[in-house]
Amino acid sequence: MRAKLAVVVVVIGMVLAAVPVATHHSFAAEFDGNKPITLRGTITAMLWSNPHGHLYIDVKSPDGKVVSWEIEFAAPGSLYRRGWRKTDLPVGVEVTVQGFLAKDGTPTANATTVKLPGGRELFAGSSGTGAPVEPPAEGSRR
Amino acid sequence: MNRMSVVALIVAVALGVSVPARTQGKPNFSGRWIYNQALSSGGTSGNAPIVSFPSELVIKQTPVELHWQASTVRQDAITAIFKLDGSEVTMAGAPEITMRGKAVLEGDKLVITSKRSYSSPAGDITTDFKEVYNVAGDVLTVEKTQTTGGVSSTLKAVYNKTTGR
Repeated sequence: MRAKLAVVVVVIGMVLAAVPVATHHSFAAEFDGNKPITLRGTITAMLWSNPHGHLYIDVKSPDGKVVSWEIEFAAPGSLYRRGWRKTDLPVGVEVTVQGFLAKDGTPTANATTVKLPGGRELFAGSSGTGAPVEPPAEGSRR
Repeated sequence: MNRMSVVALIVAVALGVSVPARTQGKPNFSGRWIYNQALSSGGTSGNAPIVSFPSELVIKQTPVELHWQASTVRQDAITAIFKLDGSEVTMAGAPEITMRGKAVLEGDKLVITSKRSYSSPAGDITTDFKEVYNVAGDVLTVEKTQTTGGVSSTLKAVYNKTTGR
């Protein structure tokens, strides 16, 4: 009985441990730094999820077809520190996203910046070293 | 030595020093240049940079050509052999991307303009780049403007010359 319980606990633990491994990845593993893209679209959803936030927008292609794009953001904690708030991305609002295309050819991109209605622009870059480096203060030692 | 002689000597020395600098001709951008994050603008490196800069540039300049290679960690290196007369050449390295570019020397600056075309689920995309290179000793400064989908961003990166790995 005790051995069976141990097996069940181990299996549940392995399953739980595997989930974050499957969802967290490096930029270069999924996106192409040689393919920048600018997308203008209407927000259909925003997931403030870890380890990456995900914005979903409908973008009209040149042929008139509407394609749903998934845009990967940094983690919600990073976004909050950069000034993002949950109320910034309501459904139905049109935004301009700059970022990089996914390598697999799907309508997926990694966001660099998002311009909101009214011209406010926020950095949405992926976690890790994606945040802009603060320039040294005038006259400071380098 | 009277005052006039001293002035004449200073002028002569100044002219003597300045002549070689003027007669050196074209600036030379040759070398292996490594990206310096501390001296570069924010948004030029790391995941999802605002304007993507290579982590290493290898340039070999001859009187008529510029052999150019831009490498970035875990990305395909891009190479080109530019003619310094400004004629357009095909750039190579990244699969599924068509790249054309040209290089010209404008005074002390090297200006490389290029165009990348690639397909996406949003249709065909064209991105234009303009890179202005300035060299001062072992420091190379690159100002790069990236325009895609009608949106332009310009940032500056600094590179240091290195001789070994």
